[in-house]
Amino acid sequence: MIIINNLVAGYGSKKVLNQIDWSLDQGMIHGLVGLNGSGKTTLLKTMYGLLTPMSGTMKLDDKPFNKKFISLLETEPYFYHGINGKEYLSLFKSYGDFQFNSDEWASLFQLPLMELIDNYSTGMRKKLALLGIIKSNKPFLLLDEPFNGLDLEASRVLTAVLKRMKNDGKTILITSHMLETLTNLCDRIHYLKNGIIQKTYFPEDLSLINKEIFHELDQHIENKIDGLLES
Amino acid sequence: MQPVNFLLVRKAQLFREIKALGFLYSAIVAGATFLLLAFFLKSQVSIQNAGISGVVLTFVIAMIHFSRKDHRFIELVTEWPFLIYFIEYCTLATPFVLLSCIALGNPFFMLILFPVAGISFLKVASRPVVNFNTSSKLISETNFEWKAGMRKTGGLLGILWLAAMALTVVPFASIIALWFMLLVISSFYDEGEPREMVESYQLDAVKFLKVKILSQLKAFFIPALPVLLLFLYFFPERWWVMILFMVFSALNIGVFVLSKYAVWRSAEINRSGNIVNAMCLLGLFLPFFLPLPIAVIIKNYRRSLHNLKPLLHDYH
Repeated sequence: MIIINNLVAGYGSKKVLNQIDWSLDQGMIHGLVGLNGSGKTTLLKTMYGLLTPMSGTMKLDDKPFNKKFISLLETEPYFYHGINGKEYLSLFKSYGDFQFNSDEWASLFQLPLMELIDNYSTGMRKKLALLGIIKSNKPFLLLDEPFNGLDLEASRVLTAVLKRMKNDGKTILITSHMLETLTNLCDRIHYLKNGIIQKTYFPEDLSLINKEIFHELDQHIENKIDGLLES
Repeated sequence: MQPVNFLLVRKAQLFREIKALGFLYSAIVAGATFLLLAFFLKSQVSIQNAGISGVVLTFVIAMIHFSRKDHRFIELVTEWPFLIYFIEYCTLATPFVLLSCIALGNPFFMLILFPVAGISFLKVASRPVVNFNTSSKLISETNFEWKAGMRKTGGLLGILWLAAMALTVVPFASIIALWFMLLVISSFYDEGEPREMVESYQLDAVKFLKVKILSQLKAFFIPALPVLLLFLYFFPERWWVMILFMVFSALNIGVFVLSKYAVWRSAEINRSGNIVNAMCLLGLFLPFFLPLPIAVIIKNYRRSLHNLKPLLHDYH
């Protein structure tokens, strides 16, 4: 079980996460949704240890979080200029006895590993960053917008890979702007608003998400557009 | 008026760099510049010495011209990029020209303006980095600085290495060629790798720095050792020069690596250590700079640990 207690975090004196109490079942795919600025990325960065919490505890199997067991995919992956995809992947070590065949994986994602990363498109960079995470084979994955920039085929491959990883016992936490991707993939979807987890949706409630979360926003947008078009 | 405006921009950039260095380093840089000019003035005792220093200065200006990243910008904003380059390089060379003319009592050093004008005319097209296979036992798998660096400046390094090998019969010439290699190699450490690449080693900060420094030393000494051994073969009585250069280059590589991680931020280019690194490199010609790398290593080792510990703490 992953347990987060009383987590407060932010930037400088500005609090973005406001006393989060949260527990995540292991061996599942968890989705994290929230409107822009709700603190999704801040939460992932804090869980990974890139941001020091102002207070609170985060435990994985009753032990404090440790990067040895966690991978983080950031929304916009950056790379080093002048190296190719194969060289990038060669840097990563695999957790446990996982055998990673970079050529086979690259072929699955249709990624030209011998090309310089400088010449990669946004989608190719995302695929390479994902391959780095897959190769690391850590038990807990934090994926910030993993589907952003991926083509249709790669999105389907990633969905299949994540499902397989879940079956192998990994715990995956994903954020996405595309609700449909999450509802098709996740076992739980957590709604983050004003820096706290407002609600957790189970598979049987997933149809309610659109209505409950986005109804108010859609109404506000429609009113605004009506006003603009009428004037 | 455009060239004057460019010079004003350069002046503003210089002041910003000095401000970023802080008082202590600015004072050291000012002192170093003064000492460099004093050393230059003292060396101008003959036409031959003036010729050698002219060649070195021309080479430095050529390196600046080929490595600068603003060629496209300058070509975009002016019809006469040659003029901008020429005026900038002349400004850089002016103190040396004046000092040489004063010391020698003749304008011999002004001849440098001809090659400088020639360099200014050279068009430098922004070339994509050439992708070639670096899977070789000479560069370790994790040494991405050298893999990327070889793709960017491998041609120049190859020429310098061949020159170093060919010049082993000339006293000190091969050492100077190796020094120029070190100068080129110092640019390998400007870019900070992304967080994932630092973490991929899965080592704590102390071990990480040790592994990084050792891999960089290995990458440099594999090509440098044959040159140094040949030098020793031709000049056995100057064995101490070889030892001194090995210590000097090892210290400087330590400076490059630690200067990078002292200010490392994920996927950011940071050249704030370049001036101090250049001063450390000058130690080969200006002996009073020789102890500087040790001071920089001690200072930046502590800063690097402080910078990396939050990221790598879990791998302790």
